[in-house]
Amino acid sequence: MADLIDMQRDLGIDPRSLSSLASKLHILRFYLDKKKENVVSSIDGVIVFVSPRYYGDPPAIGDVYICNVQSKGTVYWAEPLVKVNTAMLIGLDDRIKDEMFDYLWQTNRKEFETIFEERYRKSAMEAANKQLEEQYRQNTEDLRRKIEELEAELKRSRLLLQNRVPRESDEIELSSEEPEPVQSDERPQTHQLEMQMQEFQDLIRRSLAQPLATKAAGPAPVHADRTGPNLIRSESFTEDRYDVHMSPNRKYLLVEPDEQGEVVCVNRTLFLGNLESLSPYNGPMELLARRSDKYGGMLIEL
Amino acid sequence: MTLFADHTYSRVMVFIDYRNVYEGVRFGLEGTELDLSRLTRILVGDRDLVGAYIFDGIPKQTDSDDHMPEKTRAYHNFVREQGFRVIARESVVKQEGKFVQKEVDVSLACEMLEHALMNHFDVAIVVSGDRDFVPAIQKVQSAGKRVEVASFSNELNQECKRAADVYYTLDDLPIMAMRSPVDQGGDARWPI
Repeated sequence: MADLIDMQRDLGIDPRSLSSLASKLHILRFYLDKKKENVVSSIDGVIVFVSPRYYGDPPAIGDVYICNVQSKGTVYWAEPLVKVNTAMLIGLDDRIKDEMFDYLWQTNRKEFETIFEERYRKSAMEAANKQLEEQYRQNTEDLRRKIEELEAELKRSRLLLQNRVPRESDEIELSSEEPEPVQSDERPQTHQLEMQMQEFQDLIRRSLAQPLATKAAGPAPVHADRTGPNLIRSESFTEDRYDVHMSPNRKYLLVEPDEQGEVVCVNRTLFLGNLESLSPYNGPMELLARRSDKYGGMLIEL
Repeated sequence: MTLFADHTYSRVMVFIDYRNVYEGVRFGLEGTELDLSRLTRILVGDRDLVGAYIFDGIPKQTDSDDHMPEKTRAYHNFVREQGFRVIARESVVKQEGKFVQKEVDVSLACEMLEHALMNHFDVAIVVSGDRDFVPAIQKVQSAGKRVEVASFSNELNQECKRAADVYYTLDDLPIMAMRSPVDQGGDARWPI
C-alpha cells in the first residue's frame, strides 16, 4: 500500500480523519469482470466495485485511480478520487512517485511483463532482421564481384586457348614411325603465329600482374605508341573492344570504341592481327595520333 | 577545294561497282576486310543518304571446289542486312582464261540515270574508276545533278576523274576493317 498521507492537501482531506482515511486509500487498476458486465478492481484477490454514490466519470478499463475504499461486509466499494496519469505523476515528488510505481509494478507485474516483452521482442526482431539483410546484401555483393573477376579470367584463358598453336609435344606417338618433318613453306607461318602467341601471352601476364587502369582516370590525352609488332597502346583505350580500320595505303588507322568490335583491348593495348605484315615493326615507337572530327574516333599515323 | 558546298539536306545516292572496288584492295591487304558500310558513311558525311546500291555479278559454278556462287550470294546477303540494295547479275563469263562480268556496268548506269530523271537524289556518288561510266555521269549531270566519283588510284581512269564534279581517292580512307586473331575463319563476311 502506498503512503499517500502527503496528498491530503491536494485531495482536500480532513486531517482529523487522516489516519483512518489514509489507510483506506488504494491505488486501483480497473478491469472488466469475468461476466463482462462491470468494471471492477481487486485488493488481495477480493473484488472491489465502484461505489454507487460515486457520480464522477466512471473508470474505464485499464484506468488507474487513487480510490477511497470502504468495506461493507465481504464487499469493497471504491470511490475514485484521482486518476493516475502522466500529468498527475509529474506533479508528485520523487518519493511518492517511487512508491506508486513500486505498488503498480507489484500489483500488475504479469501484465506489464507481457506488454514489455512483446514490445522488446518486436524491436529486437526488427533490429535482427535489419542486420541480417545488411549482411545478406554484403555477401551478395562480394559474390557478384567474385563472379565478375572469374568471368574475366575465363575470358582471358579462353582467348589464350583459342590462339594456342599445337606443338609437337602435344601429340601422342602411337607407333615407332618417325614424325614427318614440317614442310618448309609451313615453317614461317607457324613461327609467326608462335611469335604472336608469345607476344599476347606476355601482355596477358603483365596485365594480370598489375592492377588494371581504371576508367575513372578521366579523359586521357591523345597519344599512341606501337609497343609490339601487332600491339598499339594508348591511355585513351579504356574500353574492352574497338573497331579498327586501316586505310588501303596502310598509312592510317582509325580506332573507335565499339562493344561488338572485332579488336580486343587489354590494359589499354590493342592486339591487331597481321599489323606487322601490313606495317613493318622497327621497335617501340611513338605514333602521331589525333581525334578526327571527320571520321570520329582516333586517327593514328603509322 | 571544290566548287560545291555540302548541305545536310542534300539527298545522296551511292552506286558501288563492287568488282572495281574489290580489285583495288584484293592484294597486299591480307587479314583485313573491305568495310563498305564505313566507306559509304565516310563518303556521304552529314548529308542525307536516300539509297545505296551495290552492283555485282554472280559467277557460275565451275569444276573447282571453291563454291564461288554460294560465297558470293552469302556476301550479298550480308551487305543487304547492312542496308545496301544489291543488284546481282548472273552473268560472269570466262574470257581468255579469266572471269569477266557482263551487264553489271550497264545496270549501274541505268539505275543511276533513272533515279536522276525521277529526281530521287541531288548528288550521286559513283564508287568506281571505270571509264565506261563517263557517258552516264555526263547524262546525270545534264539532269541537274551533281556526280561525285570515288575510287582507288590504281583502278582510276583519268577520264572518269575528269568527268566527275568531285573526286575522292579511297587510298587514304580508313575502310579496311582489322580484327584480333580470335575468330578468323572462312565465314561469309570475307570478300571472295
